[in-house]
Amino acid sequence: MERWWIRPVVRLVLAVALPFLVPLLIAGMIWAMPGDPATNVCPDCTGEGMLQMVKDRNLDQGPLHFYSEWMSSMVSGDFGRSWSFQSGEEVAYLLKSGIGFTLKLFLLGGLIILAGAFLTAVKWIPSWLKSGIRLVGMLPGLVLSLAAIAVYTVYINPSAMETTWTQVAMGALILAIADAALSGTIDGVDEVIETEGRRRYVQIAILRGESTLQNILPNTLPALVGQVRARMLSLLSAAIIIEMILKINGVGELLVVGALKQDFPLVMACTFFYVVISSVMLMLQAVIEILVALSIRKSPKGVA
Amino acid sequence: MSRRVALAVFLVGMAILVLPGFFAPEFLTAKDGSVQGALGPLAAPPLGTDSFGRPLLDFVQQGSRIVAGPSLVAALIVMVLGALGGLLACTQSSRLSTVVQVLGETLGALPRLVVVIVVVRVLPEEWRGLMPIAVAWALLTAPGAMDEAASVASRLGGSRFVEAMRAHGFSRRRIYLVHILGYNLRPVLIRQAAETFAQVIFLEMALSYVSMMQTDISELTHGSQEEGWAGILYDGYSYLALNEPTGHSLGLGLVLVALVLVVVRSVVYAGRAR
Repeated sequence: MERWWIRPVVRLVLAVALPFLVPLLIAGMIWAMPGDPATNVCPDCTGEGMLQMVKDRNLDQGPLHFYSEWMSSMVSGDFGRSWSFQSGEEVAYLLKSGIGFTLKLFLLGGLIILAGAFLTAVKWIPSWLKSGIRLVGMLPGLVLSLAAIAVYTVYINPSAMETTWTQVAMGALILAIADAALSGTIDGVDEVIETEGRRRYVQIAILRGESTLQNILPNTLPALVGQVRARMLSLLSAAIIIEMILKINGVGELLVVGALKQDFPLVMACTFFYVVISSVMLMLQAVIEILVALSIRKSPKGVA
Repeated sequence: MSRRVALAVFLVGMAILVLPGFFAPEFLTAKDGSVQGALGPLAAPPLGTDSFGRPLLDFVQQGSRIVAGPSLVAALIVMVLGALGGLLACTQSSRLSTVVQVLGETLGALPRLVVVIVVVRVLPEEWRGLMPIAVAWALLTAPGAMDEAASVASRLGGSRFVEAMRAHGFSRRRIYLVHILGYNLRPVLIRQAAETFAQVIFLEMALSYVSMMQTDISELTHGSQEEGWAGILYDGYSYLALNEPTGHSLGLGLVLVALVLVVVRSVVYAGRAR
């Protein structure tokens, strides 16, 4: 019997487990670094000051203690305090200011990808537009972001300190188009639909006057959803660079600077945020796959 | 464009990307505070200088040295793992296939750049560089390549294809190496490897650029005495935003980006199925 359920179940399990596993991995990595974690984090601390710091930061009883303390306070919304980025500041407060912009950037970019996938499926994108998107999509996000921030700084808002909607919109457009994100989605959807459309059952359905999409959608939906999810996951990564270059005050900058300043509560909180988004997408994909598979396998009425 | 032309373009492009690294200076020329501005290629051949009087040729050479090795290693990792994924789909081992699926889904669910940034942080200072980043990136990209290769192998017929070829008298080695890898998986593997090659180069440029923007953090992908191609783009940005005479830096940066894209396109074209 074909084990169709393996992948969706694996995805569901991963979706639930990843937000717990990844912070555990990071905690393990802190202790895996050469030297003592306390010395690595605060090389100048000595004597009583060092002992107090180690106790305050839960570095005294190994990675599992550090992880369990972090998880138990995280559940109540307390992500700890920043160690070096903004020493003493609550990580939840730092994160709160960045989450909104990152989510807007990611969701807006994702919306463009979804729209591209839908319009391709219903054949509303002319070939000249596809070629244009492919051409622009060849450029890496870095180059487009530099051009965008130059235009923004010179012509729109030369003294930008706060993030504006214009920056977010520009970032979302770059996120969707650069690095072949949108063109890859369009080509991928085209290929899936064309391949499936050549099958005999579709040809027969067309002869009966039915629409191609209506017939192929149940069979192709899992593949299409998988493609879009993989694309959205790439957007999540690309958003970090785009945020930094376009000076969008999002979670990406917190992650990069926090990682390099060894501000591990900040790094764990930022990573947790990204992994939760990935888990939500994974769960959506698994649920859609299971629903489609159950629907396809449901016996017609009147058949035992 | 014929395959031979595409292959020739690929080889020439790779030579331009990789060879300058062998002649790269150990250290970049020190910044010259007395220099008034950048000079173009005509005033300071062959490629001009940056705003501090440093030859852009040195940037190109050092950048080439920084990216060449790691990007090729990353491409190779993706190619090998992709080939493994495709070949596994032609075996009858459902248990092994399940294990690979689970591993692939786990790695594939992680946001790549987030993992890479954490890996960079965890490494000791003396190990830091582009190679560990490239390897981490390749390992996270590999599940997608394995999936695609497995899908191509499944469309062939998987283990039934192997049995049919065995019935025709071909040896297993010939079937796997020539018929499956050589004839059918080759276009997929080359495309995945080429895309990873380009991604690592652009990733290096992006991370270097981000380090340059944050003046209080050290370089992520190379030593502080080196400059990569991001330095050329950083200089070129001044032309766009501040109207400084560094248009040639911007042009050179865009040429390097275009060269990477041309190399990728040409090798994909040369490696396509007949």
